[in-house]
Amino acid sequence: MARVEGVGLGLRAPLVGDLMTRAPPSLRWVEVSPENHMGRGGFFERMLADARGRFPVVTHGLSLGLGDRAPPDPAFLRALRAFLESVGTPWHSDHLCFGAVDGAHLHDLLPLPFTRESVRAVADRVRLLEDALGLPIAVENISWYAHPGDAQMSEADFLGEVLSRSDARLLLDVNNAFVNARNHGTDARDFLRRIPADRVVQIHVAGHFTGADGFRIDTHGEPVCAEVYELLELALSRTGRVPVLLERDGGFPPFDELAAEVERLDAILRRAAP
Amino acid sequence: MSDLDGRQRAIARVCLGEAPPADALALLGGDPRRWQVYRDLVRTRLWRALLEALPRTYAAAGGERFGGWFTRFLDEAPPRTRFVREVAPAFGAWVRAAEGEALSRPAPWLPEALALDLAEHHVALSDARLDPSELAAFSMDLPAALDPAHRRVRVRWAVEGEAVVERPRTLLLHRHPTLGSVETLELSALGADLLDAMDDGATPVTAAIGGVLSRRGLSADGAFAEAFAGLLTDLMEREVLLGSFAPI
Repeated sequence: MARVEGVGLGLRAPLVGDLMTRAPPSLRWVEVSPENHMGRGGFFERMLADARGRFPVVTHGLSLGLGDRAPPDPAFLRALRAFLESVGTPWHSDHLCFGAVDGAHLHDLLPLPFTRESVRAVADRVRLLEDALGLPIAVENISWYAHPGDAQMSEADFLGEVLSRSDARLLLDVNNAFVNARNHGTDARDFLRRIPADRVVQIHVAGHFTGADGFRIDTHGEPVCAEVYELLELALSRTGRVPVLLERDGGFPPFDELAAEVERLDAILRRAAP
Repeated sequence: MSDLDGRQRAIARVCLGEAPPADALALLGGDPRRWQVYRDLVRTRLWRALLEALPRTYAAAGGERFGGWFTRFLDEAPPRTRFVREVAPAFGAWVRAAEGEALSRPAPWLPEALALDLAEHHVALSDARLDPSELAAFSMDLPAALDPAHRRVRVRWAVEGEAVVERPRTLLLHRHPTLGSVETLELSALGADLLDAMDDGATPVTAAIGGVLSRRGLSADGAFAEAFAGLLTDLMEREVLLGSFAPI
């Protein structure tokens, strides 16, 4: 298993040509979503093979449904485990959300209520998934745009309870913390101060879309904003030097602009205490 | 039903229903515009996946009809796959079942536009491959080994300039050996029949072509041999013909 440290970038088809030929020196690893590659031949198969030949790979899932109610599909878990072992990821992350209801997959990150029932459901599922996959699971805090029904606790407490009961790791998404704070009138710095820093194994940063009404949507389609860079410094001051990933899924700029974002993240990361 | 189940089902109904149900919005509470954000995110992602995979179908059906299918599909038979790439085949199967014979009413070429889109989608993404240990060098005395990722589609209609004209033919879709892009080869009627006969994984090539020629009342003369050799060479270069299945 390769050592993962420094700054990484999400492996996306529009980026792969530049990634393989002129990646900035500070780019140390790539993040791969298994659902984009499992059982898929052709271009995506070759893209992954090329990337694995050059960079350590960390996996980031899209569909484990940590908050789903139906039992996980054993066939999918077996295939996922084989994929994770094949790329040598040190952990597998997915989102603190649900994505499927009664067999229907909605293909988005849907919000869980911050309730004790949700905590129990997610924690039980995370433990089950860790056993099935044979790897640590890292749970990512999501951007949420509405809360379903009444909450029994804050988001930070909800996240802390899930991690405590499941013993999972945390993939801290700083952009999501910022988006949520702006959308719901809370303080992202307070959120970052309250999360269990010792559980953080990886950090995500990304850009987001701001609508005319000021409401923000986590798109990964814009540059990282100044406030998120500042929040990253705060997060790293608590976690120490953990791997940081730049997510870019759309609105791809010239590669030099992405490379500059990677370099900036690397400079911030180097200033953090080990 | 637990409280958590109820809230999740309410969100699913808001996102997938023909319109967000009032009782689901009431259960979820808060600003309905924020639940509309989720509805838009879910539907936009799936809509884009369908447009990307089914451009000919969309063009042949028209936006209004295609959009109507999309709305009913999500409401009646939402995707049951975790893989976005599998949503278009599921949608295509639903459209075929829902429309039946009526699928060709808007345009007679609509069913084959859908078939061609789905074939192209399959060829681009398929990871089907033969086990190298089963393969041998090509021999006329052994069954042909064809790339399982390729597809052959019989079509009646062709786009020529601005017009759609009737021109029956068979299209062979395969992945470019190095670029990975989907390439199309137009087969003659005889070539298509020959490939159909050769693609059962069991019949030696000589027997397969003998059967086709016999049914068509043709003989394996010099002209045929030359043309057939050209077809085999082309298919090998395209890596559609991978060799023969080794004798067991």
